[in-house]
Amino acid sequence: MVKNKIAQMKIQQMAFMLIAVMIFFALVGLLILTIGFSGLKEKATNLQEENAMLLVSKLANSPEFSCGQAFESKENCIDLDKTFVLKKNIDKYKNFWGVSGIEIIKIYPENKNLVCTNANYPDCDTLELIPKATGISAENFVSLCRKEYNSETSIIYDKCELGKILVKYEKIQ
Amino acid sequence: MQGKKFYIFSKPFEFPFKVSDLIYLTSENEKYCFDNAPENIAEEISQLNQANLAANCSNADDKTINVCFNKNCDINVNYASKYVQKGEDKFYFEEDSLMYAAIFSDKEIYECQVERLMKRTKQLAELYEEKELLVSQKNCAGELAVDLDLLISSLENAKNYKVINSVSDLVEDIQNKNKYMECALW
Repeated sequence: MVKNKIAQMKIQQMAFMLIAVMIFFALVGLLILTIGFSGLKEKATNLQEENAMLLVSKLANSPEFSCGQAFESKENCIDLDKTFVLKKNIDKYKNFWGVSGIEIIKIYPENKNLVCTNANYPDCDTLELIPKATGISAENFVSLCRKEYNSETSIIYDKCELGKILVKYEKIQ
Repeated sequence: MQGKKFYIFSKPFEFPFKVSDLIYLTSENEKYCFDNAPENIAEEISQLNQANLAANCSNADDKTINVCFNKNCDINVNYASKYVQKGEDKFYFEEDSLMYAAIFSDKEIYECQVERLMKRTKQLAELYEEKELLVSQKNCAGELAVDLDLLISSLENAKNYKVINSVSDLVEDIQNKNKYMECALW
């Protein structure tokens, strides 16, 4: 009888020991996973930031934005008239560039923070192609060119101003 | 495509406006020589200075793929009729950039990519059509609306990628008109 009780105690001890060892390994596993995943998130955010930087540097030269031969300016030149039309048709380009926001902002001459609409274009400063209030952004300086008509001289001329293009992306949570 | 070393180059595709940059990736294991190519093509190949591309076939070995412009060999380019023949398959092209794509690609991939290019061409044509309307309000009337509309509807109703050949005259016409317009659209 006494021997039986001792054996039962030993079995119980072994069971508790096994449970403790399993809990220990589970906790260690969880710790490793947490550290691993936190690194992954950071890597994914860095990759997204890198992609946004690359995109913003080449976006101005893509056919939907670029001046082409229409203006004297060539590199990093955005055709503002074309881009304004693109804004109206932006639904057709959903997920095409894979970013959460694209904005074009005039920085010189003076910026009155006016968002471009059908009513005020071209006397405006910000063209929100894909509006996005929050998020991390990458930007690049560009020239913003459009055709203008001088009613006094009846001459059509190229008007180019200094601006920047902003690409916004969301930080991975 | 297999190999340890790959060569890359790119060329813009303009139809009639710039649609995209085409990127060509070839393996060092696949060597090409261009036999009797037009002067501009031969010069371009020489300037690329890629070890697997030769501007003539005089020093080509047995493994080299011969690309011929006036006789029958592995790949035949009919530069006047704008098609590339590989065995029984015909790859229709416009512009030199698509000719290179036809030479280096599989039929399935080539057709799929040209269809994608045609879709982007259509979307860009729509943008330029609306842009013309916008600049016409600035006393800068254009004359491309009708032609662009025709291009859009041709691309919209296209059954396959071969539409590039059927709209080529229209594209050339649009290109010429845009060049001489007071407010060029692109």
